[in-house]
Amino acid sequence: MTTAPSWSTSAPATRIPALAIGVGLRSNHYEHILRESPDVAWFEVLSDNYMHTRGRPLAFLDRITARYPVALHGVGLSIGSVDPLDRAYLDELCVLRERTGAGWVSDHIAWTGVNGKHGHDLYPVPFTEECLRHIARRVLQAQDILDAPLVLENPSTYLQFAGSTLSEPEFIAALLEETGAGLLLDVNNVYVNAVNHGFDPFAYLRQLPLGRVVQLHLAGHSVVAAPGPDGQSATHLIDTHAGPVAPEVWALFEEAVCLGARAPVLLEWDAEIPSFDRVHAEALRAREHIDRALAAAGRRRGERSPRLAARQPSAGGAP
Amino acid sequence: MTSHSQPRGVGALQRWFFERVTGAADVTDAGEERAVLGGELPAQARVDIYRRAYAARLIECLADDYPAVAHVLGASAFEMTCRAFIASNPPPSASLNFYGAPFAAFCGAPGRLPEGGFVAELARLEWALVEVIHADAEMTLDPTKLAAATEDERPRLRLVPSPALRVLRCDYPVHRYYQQFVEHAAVGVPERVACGVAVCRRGDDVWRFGLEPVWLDLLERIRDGAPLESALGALEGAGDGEALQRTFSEWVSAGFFADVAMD
Repeated sequence: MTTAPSWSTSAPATRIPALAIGVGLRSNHYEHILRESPDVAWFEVLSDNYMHTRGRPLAFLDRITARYPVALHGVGLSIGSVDPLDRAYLDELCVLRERTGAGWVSDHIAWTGVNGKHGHDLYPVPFTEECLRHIARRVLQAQDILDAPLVLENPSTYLQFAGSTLSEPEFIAALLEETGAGLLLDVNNVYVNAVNHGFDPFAYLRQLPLGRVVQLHLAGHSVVAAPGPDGQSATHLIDTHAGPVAPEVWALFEEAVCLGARAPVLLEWDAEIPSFDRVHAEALRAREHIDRALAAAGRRRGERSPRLAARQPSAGGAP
Repeated sequence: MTSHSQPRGVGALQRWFFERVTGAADVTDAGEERAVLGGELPAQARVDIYRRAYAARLIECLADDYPAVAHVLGASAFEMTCRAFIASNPPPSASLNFYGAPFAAFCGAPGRLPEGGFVAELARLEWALVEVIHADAEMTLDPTKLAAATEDERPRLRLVPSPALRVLRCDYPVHRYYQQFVEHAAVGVPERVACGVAVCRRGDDVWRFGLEPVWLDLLERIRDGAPLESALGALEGAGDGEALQRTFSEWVSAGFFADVAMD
């Protein structure tokens, strides 16, 4: 269907260890970070905020990247659009990657505009073979320009198109397979979509190639009630990145780690942003969930190896 | 640009969807067209989430860039003005950094807003603040270069303005109004008075200077490339040399100039 990538399909090289916990860099925390040098493993930088500027945002970013490893995360690539791929955008992204020494560059499996107009939102793609071929071709083009694998995020969505013939995880798995791209698994987005579209988020995780996960996202969401078709209230979730991570999302995060997602973890907090310390403390809650997930993974491995288990002495010491 | 051919089904779907999100088309056919799957939340309501987010995001962007304009107009009139602006100015770029650039001219269009002249000038000042934040301010004048100029060189010496300097000629005292706004003291629309304002960034700091007409004239001449000696020669009514020295010193400290050059 598409030509194979010319570089390795393994996860990109990075200075950020697997399961290291990072925080999304936000401008209202610049001064705190530079003054206090908090003990944060890494920062995710919203690339679009540092493109089309030669000014103060870059000056702050330079000082932060001198102290911390970073990865770039964007919203403007519009990899799913039928408009021509924006070469100038990708060139500027390359410059920013060089400037920051970012471990990898990520964006969303989405489109943001068409006919030269931009909606500045992440719009859903139809899960069809035609769309899969279209996006895979563009991912390969982008990767040739970046000379590195892209890392693609599963986006939050509020609708699905009726013509879809693949499930979302089938679509993502096929896209990663075709292109060699990595996966930014946003666990909150999985949960938001599961509620909004009525699927089992745990089954969704089991369909993804979790060995390809390069980064994990955590975030809060908002619960909204709207009138349903029968006049009853229909609850849906909006991916606002506001507030703490929901318990259901922590449970899903544990399952993803337990199933083999071993990548740096990042908390996004974009609305009603509290102090840096509050955001960082929320991110660090991931540690206890990681520990629990790794213990559960160990137990599951044990359960799957009955012969090995039988060789262990029993609690009573009898052979 | 990379050559490409459009997948027909995906392209048609994206154009259909985008027209509804941006308000160019009604959303009521979302379910009837069977483009969008409904369920517990109807198809139309699902498209509407994106439609509301489109406007909200752009209004938020304009509110970030124009807080004083939002204050003077009031929340409701500001939102209505933003919605009208968005309808006639769909975002042309993947970056929102400069989306608000035409907003001052939009506000100042005849008959658009009561007190539109003042609002447009206030918006020009706020946009200047946005521009200098994004401008390159790496180079600042080394004052010893000025002192080192020889007698022969002085008539040809000019100051190179910083890319992070903006000089505005105004019919309203927007600098004073903006300062009152920052101090939570802004009141009504001020009386007209000819004046100027300079905005500049040096390092992390953004400076804003109100300019009396005589200093505005001088700074404009320098900015426009006049040799320093002739620009100073045209100066009238600036008071004593001490005032000139003090003013120049402030301008240099604030990073108004990047370098010196010879004609």
